[in-house]
Amino acid sequence: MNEITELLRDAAPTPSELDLDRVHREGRRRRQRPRRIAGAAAVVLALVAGVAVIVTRDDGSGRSVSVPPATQPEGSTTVAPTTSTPATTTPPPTSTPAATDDRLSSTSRLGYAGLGPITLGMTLAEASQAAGTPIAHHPPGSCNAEGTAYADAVWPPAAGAPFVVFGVSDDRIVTVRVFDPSVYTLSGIRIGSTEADVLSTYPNAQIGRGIYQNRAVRITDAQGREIVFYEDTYDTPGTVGAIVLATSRAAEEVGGC
Amino acid sequence: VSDVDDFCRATWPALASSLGFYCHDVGVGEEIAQEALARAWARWDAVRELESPEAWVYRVGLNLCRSRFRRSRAEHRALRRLTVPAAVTTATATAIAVRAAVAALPERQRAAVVLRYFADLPVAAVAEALDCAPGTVRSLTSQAIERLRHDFEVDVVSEDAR
Repeated sequence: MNEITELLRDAAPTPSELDLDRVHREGRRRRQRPRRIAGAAAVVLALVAGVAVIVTRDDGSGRSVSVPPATQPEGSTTVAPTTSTPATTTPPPTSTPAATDDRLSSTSRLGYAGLGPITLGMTLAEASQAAGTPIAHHPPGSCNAEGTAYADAVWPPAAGAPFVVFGVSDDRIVTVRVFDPSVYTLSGIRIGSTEADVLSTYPNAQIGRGIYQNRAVRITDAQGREIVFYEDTYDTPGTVGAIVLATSRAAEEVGGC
Repeated sequence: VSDVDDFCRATWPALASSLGFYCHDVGVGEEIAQEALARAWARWDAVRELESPEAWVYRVGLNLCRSRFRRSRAEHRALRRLTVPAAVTTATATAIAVRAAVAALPERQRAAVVLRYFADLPVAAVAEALDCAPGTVRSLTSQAIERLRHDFEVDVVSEDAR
């Protein structure tokens, strides 16, 4: 055997078992995506035709709220929290502050659509306008190996403050990553919530592992958007340390696969 | 059992380890390997017809790794808090040194040497995964080995002899 091969094999990290069920699950989801896109296109056509369509907004808990999409811009959607019957019996935490989605603030709520007035798919200019404050590139835009522009934007821009990172691709927001403990999901989960809180709030959540080996509780909507609650294994095990919203893995598609 | 499941099982160990090498993080490597295999599973009818389905899945994995690298330092700092403490590793000092040396290689050299010498892919498959000519693979692996030889006195058989 070549010594370089031997050297690498001796040093190789040993992977755990393949989770074939997860491969099937993720694979099926990918197969279904074209049909979902077709469904979304039908909704757009209906809107263009002036048909009154009510879009149901939901963050995975089973509680859903109705939002009339044609009456207000997508980025300033006002969430009316009691227009439909909750599908679960778990009430949101009583200490959850009221959502004020007209401007991005620490009381903005995270749902599948986005964070407060910031929705996935917005350009940075649109997001800054909706937020009422500049959302700055950090670091300045960079390019990956394929030459696709990619940058992250951070809010608030002040160094050291609890923050939210918007993953930006082709100038559009494709992920929202929350590290600010004052930001809640629509159903009342935030940084510092326990895993039990997450599971009781989202009964259909799936438990897996995150990219950093920590536990990750994942909820997914019909459009393939997902919100992942990552465990803070270092400082406070058993509690949520980061919350990530992503659009159908759009951020990962940027690489050109 | 379908052939795609067999493919996933057979490819998994080397794919996950290779991507762990490439990303310098076994957890990230595994996560990305899972994702790459899910993509292969989803479009298996097309992937199975490729000359090297293995090369395709490695290429997807490398692209996903590069996507991860693009994330901001701000997020890295924050997510570092979430990482499992390094003390859980059972790797030897040499293994850690080798991983660090591989991680320090330029990105394409790192990918080439891991796919060629660890995953044991043929030169043509590595070239396909890296989207370059076979001659470039040989050049990249030579440069990588030259650097590793410096640290570990590696004895190398030339590509032509393999």
